[in-house]
Formats: sequence, C-alpha cells, structure tokens
Amino acid sequence: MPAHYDVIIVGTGFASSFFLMRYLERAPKSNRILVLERGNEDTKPWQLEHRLHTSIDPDTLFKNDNPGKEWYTSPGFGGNSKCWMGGTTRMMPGDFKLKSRYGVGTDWPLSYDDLEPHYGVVEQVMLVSGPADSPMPRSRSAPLAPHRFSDPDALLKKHFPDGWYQMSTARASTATGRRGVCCASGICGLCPVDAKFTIQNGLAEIYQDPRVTLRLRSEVQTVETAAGVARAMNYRHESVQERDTADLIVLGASALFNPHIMLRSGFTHPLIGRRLHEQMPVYATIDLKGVKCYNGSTVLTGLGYLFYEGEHRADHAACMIETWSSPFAYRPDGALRVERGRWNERFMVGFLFDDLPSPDNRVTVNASNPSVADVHFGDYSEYAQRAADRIPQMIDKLAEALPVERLVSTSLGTTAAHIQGTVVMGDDPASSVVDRYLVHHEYRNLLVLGSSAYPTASPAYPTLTVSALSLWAADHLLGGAAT
Amino acid sequence: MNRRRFLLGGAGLAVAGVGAWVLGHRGLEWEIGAILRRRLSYLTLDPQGVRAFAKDQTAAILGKKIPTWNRLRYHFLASSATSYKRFFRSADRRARRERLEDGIISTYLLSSDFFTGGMDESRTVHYLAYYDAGRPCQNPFARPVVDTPATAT
Repeated sequence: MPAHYDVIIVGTGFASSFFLMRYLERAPKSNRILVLERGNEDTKPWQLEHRLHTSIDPDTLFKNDNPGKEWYTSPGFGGNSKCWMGGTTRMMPGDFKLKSRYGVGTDWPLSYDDLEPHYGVVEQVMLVSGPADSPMPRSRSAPLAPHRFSDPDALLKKHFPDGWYQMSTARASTATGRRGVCCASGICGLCPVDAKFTIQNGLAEIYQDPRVTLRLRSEVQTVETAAGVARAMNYRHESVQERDTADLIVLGASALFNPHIMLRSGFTHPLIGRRLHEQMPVYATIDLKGVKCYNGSTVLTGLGYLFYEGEHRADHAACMIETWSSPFAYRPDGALRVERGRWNERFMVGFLFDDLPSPDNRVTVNASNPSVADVHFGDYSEYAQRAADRIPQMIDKLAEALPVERLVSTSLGTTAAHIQGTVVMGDDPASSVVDRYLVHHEYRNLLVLGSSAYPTASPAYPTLTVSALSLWAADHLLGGAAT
Repeated sequence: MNRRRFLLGGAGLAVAGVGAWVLGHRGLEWEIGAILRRRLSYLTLDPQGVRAFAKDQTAAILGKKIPTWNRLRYHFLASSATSYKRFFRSADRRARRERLEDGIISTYLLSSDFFTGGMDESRTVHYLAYYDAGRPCQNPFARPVVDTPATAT
C-alpha cells in the first residue's frame, strides 16, 4: 500500500538540502516529507577510518565512455558536500547573459540580481570566508574573515588590485562551533579537521525534523506521471520495491542522475540528458625566483579575474584563475624544488574555462542495466579550447607581478569535479526542460533542482549557485522572499 | 614432460619469481636512497632514516591497491586518448626521470624534520614518518589567518 506525502525529495546534497531548509521554514506542522537517498550515511568518523568519502563506488553507478574524462561524485547522505573542496564563488553578472552580451551560448532565464539575495543567505548558512572587496556587486559581505594569501597571491593583489581576490570558500578561517579551522592539508575530499561546510556538519538537523522521513539506501527508479501531473515515485529501498505518492516531487540528484531518472521514467523532451558539461581545467606549475609558495592559510588562496569578463567572451571562454597553496596532496610528482633553499619557490595555478555545452555530450540509460547511467563526452568546445590556447599569454601577464623563472608543466585536468547541464532551464519549452523556477514545463508539480539546470557553464565554482537556485525555487513555490 | 619434470620446472619458476621480487624490491630501495643522496648532497641525511624511507616509499609504490577495471582504463587508455584536440593530458617540460625524482624528494623532505626544524642545513635531517596528507595539518609552510585581513609578507 503506497504511502502519501506532501513532498518527495530525491537526494540529500546541496540542491535538496537547501530546498528542504527553506521549505521547512514555511511548511505547516502537519506536512509529511519523504527524502530518498541512494547511498548510506557514511559519517565523518567512518570516512576518516576508511579513507573514503563514500561507501559506494561511483564507478558502479555510471559507465563513462571517455577514459580521459572523469566525473567526480559521492553517493550517500550529504551527496557531493562530502567530497567537494569548498569553493564558493558567485557567478559574475555576465555569466547569466552570455548570448545577449556576447552573442554566444545561451542566456540564463534569470539574472545575477535575481540570485544575489539568495547568494547572501547561502554564504551565511555555510559560514563562508571571503574578501572584503569583490569583483561582483554584493549586498552583504562574507560572514567569516578572509583566508590568508600565499606570498605570490599578495604580489598579484598588489599589482592587480581589481583583478585578484582572496578565495571565497566554505573552508572555515575561524572555528565555527561545528567546524575546525582549515590548515591547508590539501585533501578536502576527506578534510581531516572537518573545516569545510558539509550537509553533515551544517544542515543535518533539517533531516531530524519530525515532518521529514529520510530513507537511505533508496534507489529511485521512475517518476510516475498521468494527465500532466507527477503522481508517484517508484524506488527500491534495501531490496524492497516501493511506490509512494506525493503532491509535489522534487528531483535533487546530480546532473548525471536527474536526467537518468527522467529518461527511465519515459520523459521524452529531446534535451533531457544532453548538454552535459563542466569547466575545462588546465593546471600550470611555475617556478618563481625568490618568492615562497604554499604559505597561505588554506589549500586554494587566490582568485584571479583578469581574464573573466570582457568582450573577449564573444570569441573565447572566460577564465577564472585559482592559486594553490598546498605542496603535495594533488601533485605527488614533484611539488617541491630540489635546489638549495628554494624548496617552495614552486607555484601551482589552475585555469578554469567556461565550456559551451554540446548536445552530443550526454547522459543516457544503460541498455542492459537501467540502474546505471551511460555518460558520453567527446571534447570541450572550440570556444573553451581557444581560450586555453592563450595560457602562455596569461602567464606572461601574471609575470608582470611575479618573478617567473620557468614554466615547469601544464596539464589538462581530467575533471573540474563539477557536473552540469542535462536538464536545461529556460523560458521556452521547446528549448528547455524546466522553467526559470526549475519547475518542469509540462508537469507543474515536478521540480528539478541542481546544476543539471545550468544553460551554460561559467568559470565559477557551481555550488553556491546550486544552493542559491534551490532557495530561489523554494521561495517561488512558497510565495515569499529570502530571509 | 613427465610429472616430476613438470613439478621441478614449476618450483624453479616460483623460486625465480620470488628472487626477482626480492631483488626488485632491494634494487628499488637502493635506487631511492641513491637519488636522495645525490640530489640532496648539500644536506646531511640520517642514513638509517634514508633506508627506512626507501623501504616505505617502495612499499607505497608497490603496495598500491589493485585498481578496478575502470581505474585501469583511465590509467592506460587516457594516455592514448585522442579526443582532446588541443591539449594533451600533460605537457611536463621535465624529463620523466627528473619528474619522478622530484616526487620522491618532495615526499622525503615532507616526511622528515627538515621543514619543522626550520630548514637548518647544518642539522642532520631525520626521517619521521612517511608523509600522509590525511593526517591533520601536514603542510609545513601554511600560516594561520591573521587578524587583519589580507596580505602576507
């Protein structure tokens, strides 16, 4: 006998949790909310003991047809908040208007101003550490003091005062009562001092609300629809087949599994699953003369906006630069120099380029095992690669502030650890699956949250926007403004 | 081939395999020690510590978990993947040998008391424990946040 709920939510990551947080603020005491999570609880002590952020091997959940391209995800309670690095950049205003400003890509159906108050709320909840100044307009400053720059960052800030900023991050710069202080260990996926915000250390209490029933180990299979309404959820809970009904259904899984569930359910919009994308990440290791590195207070200390906004976006991708301040964890092949006295005169920089989504990069349902998603990715767009071709000139620009001795290496990262696209949002039902409030164009009681809705990439880290979008969607649904 | 010859041949192969494994281990340990002594010749290294590190580094190299099929695909196929038109996965300007040596030396120095001891080149460098970023606060260069926002000196 199916149970009936007011809401069924899929997933416990950023998208679902920020939606649930706002929903619970307004929902009547009598509401009943079912949350379905595919993975296990995987508590922090369990993670540290096993040196894993998830007890489920993600490779068993999807098949990737491109061995050179990885997709980083963490099934289980808290979702990718367990494995993220804590980057909380806002998108720039131009990211929302790529088509109308620069004539490429797609405009988002909402603006920076629409999301701005929600960004502020998420930063408060996550206790974000960030700079006093900012490359984008802000109505409030970050709640925690900024992390300390590394020495090369300080030089870059001095030379480019309007182009270089301290990292905006949910890795705490001061103890928060629940989280430790980041000390730049460099293994954020398993942060040994629990300094970064996670759903487990920051929003777990919403799942204790008496209105909420959390069912772990529940693999959602299909959303049942009839007469233009989403009616029920079919799922397998610990080997038992279940079917529950609800007035409102919210998909808050990742951009791999939101479309996977919709495709398994027989949804037919031609764009479902397509336009899979993330930033194109390129890393450079640079030897400096007389400048010591790795001496900031967190793993990533600086953000460069020198090549972000501007008319160049009509021709090639925007770039956000990140500077690394940890000597080892992600680079076992030579983080230090061997020359006497110059051990940490080696600088690592990441260049993140926004990619233009292609319909050929997509998620489908595996033919022999429908529980598994097939992931197809060919290549980054020419638009992104034209920008990456300019890295030597970008390093020349950085050399105006830094004593660059030699470029040691450049490498294309196998992943930016951001999965986006696949259930695109927009105003036109012909060219988008969900509307600006993340409501399905056809099934108006179905929301599809998260980065799957992204029409374009933006070089910015996506998590803050994912979380702000959930507040935006919940506020619209509940008829109120951000608090 | 009779049963006796088959068993003798099998035993011989097993002995040769074990011997190669032991020699391989020893050879790798010797090589790691030699790299440290050669490229850090300006430092005094505790010999016992160098041997212990070489043993631990060898174990780390050879003792990695057996990768899953998907991992193997990434490791072996990614190097030949041609889907990326412009960027190869790595454009390291160092020779492969230099890159490997840089990695071993980085690990050794971070595993030693060299940085925590103030980078005093007149002191003998002692190996403490194999570097493990999973232990809290293992970045010897990190500095805490200061009260005044902003720039380091």
